[in-house]
Amino acid sequence: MKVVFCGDWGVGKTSLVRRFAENKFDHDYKPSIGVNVVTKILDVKGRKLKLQMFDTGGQERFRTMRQRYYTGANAAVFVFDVTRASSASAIESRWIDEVEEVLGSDYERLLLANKIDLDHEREVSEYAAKQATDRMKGNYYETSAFDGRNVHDAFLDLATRLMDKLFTET
Amino acid sequence: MLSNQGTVSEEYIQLCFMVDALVKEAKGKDFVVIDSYFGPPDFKHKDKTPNPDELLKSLHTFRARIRKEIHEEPHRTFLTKQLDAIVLLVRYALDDNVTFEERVRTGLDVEVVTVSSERIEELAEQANRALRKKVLKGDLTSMAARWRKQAMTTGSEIIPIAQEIAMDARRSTQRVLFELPETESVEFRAVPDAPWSAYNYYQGDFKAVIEINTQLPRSKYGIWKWVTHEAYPGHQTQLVQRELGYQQDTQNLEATIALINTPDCTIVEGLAETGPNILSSDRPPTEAETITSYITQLRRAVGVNALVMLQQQQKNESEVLGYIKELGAYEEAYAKAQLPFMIDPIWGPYGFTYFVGAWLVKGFFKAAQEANLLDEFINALYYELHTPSTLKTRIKDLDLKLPNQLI
Repeated sequence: MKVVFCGDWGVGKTSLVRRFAENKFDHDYKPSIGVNVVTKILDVKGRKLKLQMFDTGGQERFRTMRQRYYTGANAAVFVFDVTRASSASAIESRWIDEVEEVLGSDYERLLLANKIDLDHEREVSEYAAKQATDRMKGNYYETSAFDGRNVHDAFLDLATRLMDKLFTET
Repeated sequence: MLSNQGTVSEEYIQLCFMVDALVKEAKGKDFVVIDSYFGPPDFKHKDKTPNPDELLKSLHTFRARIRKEIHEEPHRTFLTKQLDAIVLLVRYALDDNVTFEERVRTGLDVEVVTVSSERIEELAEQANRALRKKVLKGDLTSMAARWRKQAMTTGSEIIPIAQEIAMDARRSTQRVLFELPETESVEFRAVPDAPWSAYNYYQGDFKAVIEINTQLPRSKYGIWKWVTHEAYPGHQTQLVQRELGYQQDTQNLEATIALINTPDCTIVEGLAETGPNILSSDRPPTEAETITSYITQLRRAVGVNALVMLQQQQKNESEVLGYIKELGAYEEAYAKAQLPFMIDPIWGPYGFTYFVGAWLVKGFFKAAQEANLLDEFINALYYELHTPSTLKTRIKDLDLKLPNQLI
């Protein structure tokens, strides 16, 4: 199953992928150039599900490149930084459109509010984010790539929904 | 040793230039390490030849730096495998005991392979059947010779033909893959002697000079294949995409340097060999090209065995020449013309890039086409940097299968 990661630069997409895949975190921020592809096999309801995660840079200049990688995706993980309100509003104002230009509306959505370890700097409330999630028809998790909170649960939830969809369709 | 290491990518480029300087000093200026570079000129090595021990130490430290700082794939494995090959080049230059196997396995990230005599017989039979329909009698060697002679071009008359065919291939590539920059161009030049058949000298700014070895008489039926190899959608197209990616900041600096005898070459040559397949939906091969490709396939298989005989099994040249002539259905002069490339210290192991690279990339293309995943193929081959290892991982992750048979 192909999963693409979307969200503004610096929201923690690469860190989330690394936390999920290797249970590690990098303190140094390096903007992503090109694509980072990570594959992880999960046990979901007694079956194996392979998630192939494509993580690309969030800057506007990467738009064309990102859209090449959206093709054929089964799910999109939208990530914003709870300490940067603009990154949350960009999910609805920019990222969903960018993905749906390629995928249409038939894909699974996961919204991750990242960096909750920085609670004292928080600019985006859980209530507002959940409302956005309802509009998107996706699932919502508050995560920290830094300490690992909820990261595994969020991806397991996505994998479960993908598995359910796969077996409903077949 | 490096005054300012900069980013991992910058250090990689600087180390590549140092290795190039060292290898040239040790093996002569014709020993190519850097095939092309179109990144910032500041990173070019300008000092005196580096001290070998210090350079090896810097390469060792750089390996640790990759492990520490680069976690993204395929970037991390690409750099690590390239570095392994670079270290091997330094060892080779210093006359450290580097085996042919190491030069293939570590240098190119592939295994030393051979083709079974049964498969060579099948390939010969395939060529034989096809030729018999067109050329009425004779053994395979004489039929292949007559087939070539009836469409032969000689000397520099090939240049205008190549230019015209390149324009067709360029248009076809744009229809099948993507637009190329308006300023992109290739210029063909004839050279009277060289160990290779043709060579793309990428100049940067989307321009290349493609030299054609006019010593080898060529069949018109084979021109489409090598134009697609050298230019569109092969080397020129891939290098242009790398340069575009670098300019647009969607590609790392290391995409700007091409190093001979590194794992990147296996992918680059594999993609170039896949050129006619990539364009086949837009411009199918003619019957004559298909027949010619059967002969080429047979000779490619024989060639890889001959390479192993020469380089690994230490067979003498006359024995190998006999093998090439007999099984590859070559005339004497043609068979002899194959040897310089095989015994050349630079290009000897390189022969595996065409063979194993073609198996890998053609196999990926075919599987992706069947699974309706051509976008994944295009992304991996034109927008990313891979080694055979990372490409195999990608193919596996896409649940695609490579053919069991190498050719």
